[in-house]
Amino acid sequence: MKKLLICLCMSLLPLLGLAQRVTLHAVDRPASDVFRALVEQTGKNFVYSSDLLTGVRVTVNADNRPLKKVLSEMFCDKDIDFKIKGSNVILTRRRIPTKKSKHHEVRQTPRVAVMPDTTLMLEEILVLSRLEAPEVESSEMGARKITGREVRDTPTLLGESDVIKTLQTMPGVSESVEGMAGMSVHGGDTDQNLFMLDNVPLYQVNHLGGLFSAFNPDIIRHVDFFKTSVPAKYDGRLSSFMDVRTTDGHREGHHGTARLGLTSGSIGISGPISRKTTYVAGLRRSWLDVLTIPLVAMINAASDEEKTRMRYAFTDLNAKVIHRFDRRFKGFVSVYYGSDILKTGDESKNSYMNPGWYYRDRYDLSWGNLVAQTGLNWRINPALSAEFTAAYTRYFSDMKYDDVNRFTQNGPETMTHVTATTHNNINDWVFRADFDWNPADNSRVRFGANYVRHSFLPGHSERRNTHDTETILTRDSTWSYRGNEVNLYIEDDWKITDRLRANVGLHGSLFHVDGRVRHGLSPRASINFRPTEATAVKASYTRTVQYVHHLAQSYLSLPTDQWVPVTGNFKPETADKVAAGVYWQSRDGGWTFSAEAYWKWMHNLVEYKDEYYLRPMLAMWNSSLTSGRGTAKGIDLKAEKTIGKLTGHIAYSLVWADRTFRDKNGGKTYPARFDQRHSIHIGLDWKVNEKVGLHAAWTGHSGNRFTLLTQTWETPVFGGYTPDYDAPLRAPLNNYRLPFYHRLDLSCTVRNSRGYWTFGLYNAYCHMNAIGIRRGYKYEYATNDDTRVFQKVTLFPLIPSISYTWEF
Amino acid sequence: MGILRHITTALLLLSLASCYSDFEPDIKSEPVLCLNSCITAGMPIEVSVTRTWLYSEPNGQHNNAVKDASVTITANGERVPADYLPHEGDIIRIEAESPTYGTAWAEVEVPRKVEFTKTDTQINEGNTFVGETEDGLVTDWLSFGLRASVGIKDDPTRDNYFRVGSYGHNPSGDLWPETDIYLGLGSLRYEAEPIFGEHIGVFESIMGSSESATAFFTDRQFMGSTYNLTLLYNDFFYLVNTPELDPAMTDCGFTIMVYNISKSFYDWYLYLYNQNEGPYGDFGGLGLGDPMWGYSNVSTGAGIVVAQTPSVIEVDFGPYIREALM
Repeated sequence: MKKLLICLCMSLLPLLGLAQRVTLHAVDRPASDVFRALVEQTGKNFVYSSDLLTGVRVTVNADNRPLKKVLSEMFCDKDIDFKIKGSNVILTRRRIPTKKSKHHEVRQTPRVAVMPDTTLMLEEILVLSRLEAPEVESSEMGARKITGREVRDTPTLLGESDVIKTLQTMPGVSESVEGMAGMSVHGGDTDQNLFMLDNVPLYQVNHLGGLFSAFNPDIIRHVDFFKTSVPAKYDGRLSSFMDVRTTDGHREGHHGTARLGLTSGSIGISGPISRKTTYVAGLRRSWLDVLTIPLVAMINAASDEEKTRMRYAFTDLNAKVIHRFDRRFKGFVSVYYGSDILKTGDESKNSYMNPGWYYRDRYDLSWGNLVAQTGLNWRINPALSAEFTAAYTRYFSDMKYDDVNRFTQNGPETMTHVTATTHNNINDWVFRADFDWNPADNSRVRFGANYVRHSFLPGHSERRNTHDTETILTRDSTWSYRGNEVNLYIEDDWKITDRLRANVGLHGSLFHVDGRVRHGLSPRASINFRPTEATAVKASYTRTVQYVHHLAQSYLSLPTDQWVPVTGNFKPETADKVAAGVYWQSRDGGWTFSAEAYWKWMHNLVEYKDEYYLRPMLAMWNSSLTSGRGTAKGIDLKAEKTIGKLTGHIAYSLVWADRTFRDKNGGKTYPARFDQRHSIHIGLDWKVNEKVGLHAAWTGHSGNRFTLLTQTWETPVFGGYTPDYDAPLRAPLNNYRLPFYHRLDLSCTVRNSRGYWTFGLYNAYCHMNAIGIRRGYKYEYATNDDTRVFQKVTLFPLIPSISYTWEF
Repeated sequence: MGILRHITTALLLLSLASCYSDFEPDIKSEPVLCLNSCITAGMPIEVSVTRTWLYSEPNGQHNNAVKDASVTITANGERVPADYLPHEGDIIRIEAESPTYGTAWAEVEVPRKVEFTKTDTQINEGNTFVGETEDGLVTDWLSFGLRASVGIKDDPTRDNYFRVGSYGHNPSGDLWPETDIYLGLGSLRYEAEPIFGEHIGVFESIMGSSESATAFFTDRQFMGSTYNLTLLYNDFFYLVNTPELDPAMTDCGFTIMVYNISKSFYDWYLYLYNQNEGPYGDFGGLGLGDPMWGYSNVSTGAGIVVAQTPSVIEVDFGPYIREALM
């Protein structure tokens, strides 16, 4: 009986879009391994029966050759035929080999040769996704490989492609606030997701409050995402892990893209520096300040008394140089810098309302990430490869406020000058070694270790008050922590029988900070049983440990957000998750169905206490925190069609999630904010022809939980301070579910000879979804008075977008 | 000025076309008793007992009286009569009970008086105007400012919270029925005393407003030592329309009070600042953050009971006015 294997992967669109040409060197390697490399380079789906390639080993030596020719040469002496149909490469047993076949013709080409004897030359190192195998084959649960093209094809707000918003189309993954890049996975919190760029963690992954993520989609090769079972390699967050891998650059010529969208523009270029060295560089920047600078200048020109100052921009810069020492060694050096800057201020003097008064205030904010790293990929022998990484990653947030007031009215001049600064940063030095070992055909062992030297500065505030000649300086310099983190892991992906596969692993960690050592042991286990060829039944257990947590006073991503280590009496956050699922895949690989159920217990979670805003400005940050626990349970269902002109998926998830904290909600358990009971996502991609592609995505989910304060009490006038509003009476946390959320996003890609246009419609039928309930006022003409009403707050109506990407 | 406050509004409400639509949520809630009281050392205790109401209840704010409530006041554990004058250090407990809305109670300690190390006041000369009206009255108008430098000695044994208040003393209108005499009170320039903005962080300055500082502060920046408080008042004016200026007409003054206040008072103020001026009230109101409820130290969560003890500085404007106008 034939075993049908499908290697499915949407096309990786390299920067220049030459998807049909490949560069590959392999000597006597299993054909299936070579296909994985071809998938990486071409984005083609390889469809074949597993027995077709049993024992088939091939040798390829191709530099920027057409895929068709490479395949012809690869199989010229094999009993295998291939057909390229659209994005699929279908392999079949050759029925009647003839000398007239094109295979014969290319057999004479010296570029590809079958070398029966293994030579010392090994195939080039390629960092591949570990998620190439079909879902029914692997032991992972809830994992997904996403290509750069998928990211770019997902319709998004303002047409800004975003990897995190692509992930939000998966069952069990929900957006925090409409349009924002924050996400909750399986009822977890937004800080429980680890984002990595080429194996190195990033702390700040958002721009403009979360409207855009920090990952430039133009340089993404693929993304590995894990949300249910987690490989032992990953730990440090409770809910999910996302590893973004960037492209390696083109070896033949310099190519790139330039894109201009509604809010940002980007340029990316890659090419060879020498025969063995390539580079990739990408720059993305918002350009709204190009408009605001002249606008502000015009406003300032209109008045001598009032001046204003305002500028906002975000930038992402990626640069990477890759050098292939030989076929066994590949090294790279890369830099990522992403930042937001905001500069505002006002200046006023001798205005009509304030004669004799001068004031000037300035606000300077900058926040972002810097990652500098170097890595080495080493194929030690055909069965063992290693990846070494050394990196420096820095998250920073710097805020400065400078205020000058001078009074000359009614007397001698009085001057006050207030400067306040707040710095918040994390500096990590990361050293890691990851190994991939195939001791036998049915076993794949991954192991490794890493050391991280942390330096946390959760908040360093300084306030200098000068009044005429008298100055008061208040400085808090006690908020820095240095920490050491060591991680070790090992896992074995073991194919026990043809029907049974298991992945067993262990991740151990030590975290030293504040004079104390905390430790975590995270066992991982997942098992895949295949009652039929097309079906798999899986189960998994995952424990995760988190030593740092994110503190934020809003649902947006703001420069005041703090990443802080576990200190004092707080314990590391942990989560235990059990899951089980059923998977089915059609014989041609075109259809897949999956159903997963999970139950997660989270311990030692950290949150702000109720009424945290009463915390003194200069008080220790952890004085307003409380710890507690949470649970989440649910079901994820997904049906997907991946072959043909019309592809798409339907995802449904059901979730219950709650939290219990000692100093929140009176110690009583309450629903989590992301307790979205039902979520549905439907995505369709229709490739009309070679030039036109249509994409549609419909999202619907139960509303987020919300604390609705219904009762009101009369606020007294004490101390001469008249309140603007009556005070809301406290209510149980998250006592109300917002109305059902739904929207349809459409996009269309139209190619021409130089690039492609992308047209988008966000919220195509303009359903105004509620993100909150406010206590508002409504003017009544009959009574000439305001009446008090609850009002739904909605953000985004139908928003069209357009961008053009030029490929060169 | 928190320009980002406007940017936020622009982004969220205009550019992104945010809008509101009326909505009546299907959720049950019951009213509870609300207690409000500001206890001042040496003054009789007044207690306001009301009930909460559903926010969207028509005229709820005008229809919240509780007519069947009884109130009990205890000082240091002993029941006291309604005319009891609280002392510094008293622990006052107020309990209210209503057959309809249940019970509510709150407790607060009356703070100790602030000790001054100095109280220097200086009147800053302004402008004068003398004119004659059509009916023969002479109008005297005088504007001036006041600068007070007050040394505050902090009690190192406890956390202390302060606020500054003031009131003016007009010449009695009853004595001069045929004459217009008016003392216009100057406004305190909060910006001139940086400590009034100590609760405003960098982010709050940007997203909220630094102009809305009020005269509340703590001893966090001068714990256990002395702080020189600078109070700058602008735009006092004295106005009189009279055929002839009598020196007695210039008997007016100004009282500055530095209160030591209870923590509940300071927290109440912090809540008001955050709700009305800070960024987090806006976030909560827009659904971009957790909503804020009113800070309360009452058992039902509704109402606020605070305490304060004043220390007084008297400023006599009479001599200055007489010198300027006579």
